[in-house]
Amino acid sequence: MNLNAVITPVDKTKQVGHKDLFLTQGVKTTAGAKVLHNFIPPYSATVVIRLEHQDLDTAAKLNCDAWAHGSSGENSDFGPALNPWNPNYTPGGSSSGSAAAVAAGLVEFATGTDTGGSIRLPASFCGVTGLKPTYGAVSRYGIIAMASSLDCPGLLTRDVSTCRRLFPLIAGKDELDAISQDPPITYPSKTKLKIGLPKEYFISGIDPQVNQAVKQAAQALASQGHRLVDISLPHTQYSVAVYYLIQTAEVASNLARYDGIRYGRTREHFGAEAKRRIMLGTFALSAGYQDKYYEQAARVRTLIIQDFDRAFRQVDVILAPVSPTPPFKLGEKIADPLTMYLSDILTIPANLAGIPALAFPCGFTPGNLPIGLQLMGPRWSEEILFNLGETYQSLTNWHLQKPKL
Amino acid sequence: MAKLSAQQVEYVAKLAHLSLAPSEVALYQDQLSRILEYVGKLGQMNTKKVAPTYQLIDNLANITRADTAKPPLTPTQALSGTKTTHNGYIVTQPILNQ
Amino acid sequence: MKYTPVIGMEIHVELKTQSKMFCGCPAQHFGVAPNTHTCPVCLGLPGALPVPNAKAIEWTRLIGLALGSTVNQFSKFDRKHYFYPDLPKGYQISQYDQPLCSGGEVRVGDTTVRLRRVHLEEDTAKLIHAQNMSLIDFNRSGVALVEIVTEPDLHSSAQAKACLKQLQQIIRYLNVSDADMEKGSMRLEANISLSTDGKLPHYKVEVKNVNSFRFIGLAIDYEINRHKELLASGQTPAQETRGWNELKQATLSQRSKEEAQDYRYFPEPDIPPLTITAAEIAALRQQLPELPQAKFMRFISQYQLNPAQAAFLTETKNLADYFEEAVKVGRSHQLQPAQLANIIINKKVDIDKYLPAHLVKLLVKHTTAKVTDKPQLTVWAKQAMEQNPQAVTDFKAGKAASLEFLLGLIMRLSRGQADAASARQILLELL
Repeated sequence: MNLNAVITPVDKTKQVGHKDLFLTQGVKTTAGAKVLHNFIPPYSATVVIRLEHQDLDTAAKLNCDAWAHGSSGENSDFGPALNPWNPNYTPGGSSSGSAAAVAAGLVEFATGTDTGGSIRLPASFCGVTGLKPTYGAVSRYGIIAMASSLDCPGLLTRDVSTCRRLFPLIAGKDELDAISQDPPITYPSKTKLKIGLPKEYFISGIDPQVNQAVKQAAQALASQGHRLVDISLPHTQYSVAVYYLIQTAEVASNLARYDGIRYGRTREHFGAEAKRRIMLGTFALSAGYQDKYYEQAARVRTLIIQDFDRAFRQVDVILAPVSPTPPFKLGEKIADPLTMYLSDILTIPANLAGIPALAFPCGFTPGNLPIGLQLMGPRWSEEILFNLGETYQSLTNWHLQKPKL
Repeated sequence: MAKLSAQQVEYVAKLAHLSLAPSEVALYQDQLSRILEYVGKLGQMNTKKVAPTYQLIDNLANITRADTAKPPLTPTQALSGTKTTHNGYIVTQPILNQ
Repeated sequence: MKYTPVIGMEIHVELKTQSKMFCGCPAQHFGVAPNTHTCPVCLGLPGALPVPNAKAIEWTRLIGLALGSTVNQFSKFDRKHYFYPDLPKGYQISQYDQPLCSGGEVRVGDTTVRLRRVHLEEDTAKLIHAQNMSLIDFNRSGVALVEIVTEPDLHSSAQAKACLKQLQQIIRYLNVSDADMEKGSMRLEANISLSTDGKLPHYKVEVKNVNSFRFIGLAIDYEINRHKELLASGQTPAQETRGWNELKQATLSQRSKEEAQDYRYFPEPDIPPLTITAAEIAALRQQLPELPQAKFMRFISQYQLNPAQAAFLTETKNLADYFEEAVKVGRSHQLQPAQLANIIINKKVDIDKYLPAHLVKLLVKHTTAKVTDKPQLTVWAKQAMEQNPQAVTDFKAGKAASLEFLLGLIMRLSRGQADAASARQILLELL
């Protein structure tokens, strides 16, 4: 079946699928958007170059929501990618093509970006592993910017071990990205961890299948000697509001360069979602409203960060679902933007706090659609997440299942 | 907050250099108003003693580069995506000034 | 009706760093083929990110210190949004509420012109207007630009020009910019209004695109008159931007409808903040060269020059250093600073052609006719002896050096004009 995961095929014999936000020199890069439909960049992203130095070359440019705006892949100007487990369902977004391509075995692994959940959600919906690294761990140079203080380039792989092996190849300070850093701290390794279960992530609105699969995963880890601790992240309910003010303000700013003069097409070619976010962001920054919207959101962001700081004094990692629902059907949520925005409620907080999060499969619905969970840790704690993820994958074989294509 | 007026939506679109059809104006009036109502709930929180967070950079400061010139793009590369060029310049619509 | 002109200025100065403000492209753009000094960052290509130039930051702080500003220990960049073809990202990386330097002042005669701030930003591309199109050259896009803003403390075109000249001189002394108005490495905007009651008026007109001191003087005078006429007839000048038109010798409105721009400033997310400690500021202050005003005062007292001579010789640091080198060399040839000053100024010596030592040699060879007139020499000799009776006593007691001392005095009294041999003879006769 044609999953529409690929926008531009490059070389089937190569290993890496790059989300079409990653600039590849000489190879068309579209951001999934009509405005850039013929853009051929004169340079490559640092992540692309670092992988090429390891002989991991581009196999294909992968489909995504236009400008990374979306949670289902349905905002792509090139048509949505499809979920390999059931083509009537969305693969999640915005790294929709990346997750679909990895799950279907079209590429060995893929890059993606996670600004509000855009790696974890599609990883979860497609039954693969997805890493949202610590903000600043991976260079953003050469990746089409969505929201500058939230964008995290990351990886989608078939399992945690592969992710762990590949992550050091792309991570590390880049002199072309002033925010990027080498990890300033390391965590002492512990055999027995305290795993926090945040009550706000298991609220009544959550799908019972998701709830059960994730809780069972927690129990599996507890059986290995780790301790489960109930915790609270009280400002979780404000995450979506904070995110859709800060993110859209930065989006409006980052999309201001697309005027069709030096490259690409003019601004009439922006899709509806892009226009909506640009206007929302412009409004949030506009005179007379900036204090009430953008500034206020930046302050509440601090409260959300403090929630995590407090939690990580009690526990080593946090375990939670990725999505309140299992994968949904194409067309199901597209009518109302706000409904779509709310599907990010469990992934957004990690972006606001800049902390790493690792998503991997923990079950299937009776309809054979994947369910995923995420582990979140303090900044620079990827090693802890990889350890725990590998432990889980040594006990289970969800990650070994393959969709019937 | 009250529903956004068409005028407000048009003004924001102008600030953002977006042209909207009349049907779009009405649609965005609806959608933006709903979203703003939802996000506006943040206004109920007392954040007077909370500092805003704009960046997640730990204690990074003074990240700079030394003042050395590096090879630029060739003009062919620089202009590679441009539709209309003229003698090495990038062409755009005339700007009326005086 | 008594009108007082109220003028404030915004001066932009291109720093002569090797590379641009946020990327490694060569910053040189004058006379360079279009779009040959560009890269993804200064072209605003998708995915590009800015990394600030350390030298530009240091030089901005130096300018602030030289102007008496406070160097802020915490500073950051902000995004300033507007759409224009010469602004590739649709926003300019500039500074809003936390600039590198705050305050400062420039003394113009008896007036102290307060400075509001000195901050750092990136330059825009160059737009060339042709018949049916506009042409853009991004070589200048991203060049480091310092913005100096004055308070509206100026009240005449003469003051404004004097203020500008001083700023230009100080900046050139620091060797951080050519500050050349004709070449565009120094640009300015003036905000002009007329006050009728001594308070700040409720309107102001912005005048841009003036590329010489002469034109800014003419433009300000023109505006003052124009405002006078409008106010006298009961109208308020429109709040707008005007440019100086050389042909018409007038300012012309540049925008038909001036709307207050909403720049939607917010902190630049891609760049961490800039901090500096008090100790580092002190160390930076040590790097300041002697500034024009201080050098001017010192030249008067140290070299016995008159203000006109001192002003001429301290016009540029280059010339001042040349003069001092010449004085050093000239000392061993009994040449007085005033002598050297006169020669350099009146003979319009080409200081690039002659090294100071070379100049001194030439001077000694071609000394103008010295005074050998016996009565005149006697007057000077007697003056020298009267001023220093101790030296006379010492010489009579056998101290030969005292003769040289008295001779030196005669040279000074005669402003170097006395013929040394004859003066020596006269002196010996008198002693």
